[in-house]
Amino acid sequence: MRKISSLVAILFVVSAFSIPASGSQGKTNANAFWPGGGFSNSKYSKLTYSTSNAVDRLGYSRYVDDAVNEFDSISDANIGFRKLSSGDGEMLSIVMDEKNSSEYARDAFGIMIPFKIDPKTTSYERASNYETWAYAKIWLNDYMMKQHKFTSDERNKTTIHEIGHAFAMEHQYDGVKSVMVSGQISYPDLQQLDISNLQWKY
Amino acid sequence: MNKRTKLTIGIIAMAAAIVGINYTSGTLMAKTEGMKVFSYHADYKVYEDMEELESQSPIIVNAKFTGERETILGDSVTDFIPFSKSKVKIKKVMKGDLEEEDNVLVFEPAAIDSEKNEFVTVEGYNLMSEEGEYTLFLRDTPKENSYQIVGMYQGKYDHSINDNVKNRTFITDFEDAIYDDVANEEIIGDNLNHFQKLKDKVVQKYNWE
Repeated sequence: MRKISSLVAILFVVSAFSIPASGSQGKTNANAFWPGGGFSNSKYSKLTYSTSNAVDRLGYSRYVDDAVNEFDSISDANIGFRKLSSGDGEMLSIVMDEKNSSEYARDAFGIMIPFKIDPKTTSYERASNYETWAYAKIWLNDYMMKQHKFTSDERNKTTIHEIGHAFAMEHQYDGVKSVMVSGQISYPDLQQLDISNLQWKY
Repeated sequence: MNKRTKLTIGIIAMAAAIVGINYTSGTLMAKTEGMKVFSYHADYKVYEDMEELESQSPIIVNAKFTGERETILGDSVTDFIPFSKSKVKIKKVMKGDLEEEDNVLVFEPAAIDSEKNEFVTVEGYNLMSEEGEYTLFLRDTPKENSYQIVGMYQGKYDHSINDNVKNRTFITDFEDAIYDDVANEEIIGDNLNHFQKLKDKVVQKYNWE
């Protein structure tokens, strides 16, 4: 009888660890990040960033400041920021999507694209989300956020979401309480799942 | 084994080795020279079902891509996210102000960067082809005669592809994809299940004939 009980207990433990993350559970720890993606971990302790003039002009400085503070204030994580002027060698640029009608090209609120250095030309080239980056850029789309009648909290969420991508965080499942879920969602702050994942990695 | 037999075997072995090396090099070369796919992630509205997509789409049409496409690239790769302006001919109007036989420009959230030999897209959207028979969910833009695809991959469906997309596309975002491998697919990457759920309803309702 004791053997059967032990067997049942072992099976229970094994099955619990075998259940894939899904739905309301959310992705945790390594599963919450693009494998191999991001800057090297040590760079996140002093992530240099800039914002374009258009970020100020269109009123997004407050959302960027709030988002940076969200990440900066996580306890037990080696995360920090330093703001530079645009073009001063920053690792992350935050700009508005508004060039050559690009704001109409994508029904999206924000996009983060990473770059690496081409060893032949030493200039930037596109990188995938799954390799080490040298530079990343976030485009926020004010036109689309207006089209979708975004509230301030939703603009906060999109800005945090895109900076989350710069931390190599990937999308979370729909229905999970996380800023990394895609969509028009009213989360003005990082959620507990996001914070614990960032603490795990950084 | 006499000398002649040994020589023959040797020549055959050497020829096989040379062919093998060339074949391997060719395969590697093809992969190296193939157009690399970059599919980036965005924050965007994910439509729960077709009814929500319809309610957010002022224009719904059946259309054919005419083959005319302008690729919009930036001054440098870090300057700009490429996109395409593609001309389509309207075949049937289910919703909105357009007329049959109108030619309009559709902004597609993807582009081929020929200079870099790269295909750049967002959330796995793939470009329209001339063979395709599309239902498009569109939104007007401030640009004359130009329209945006609602929800990117969620707003374009090809009726000429009948296979379930889940049975066709095996490339995930994580894999290094070459564009030739996925050029005929409607969507590339992680959003296949959601796309197929919407497409099943769209093809049922918006017959292309």
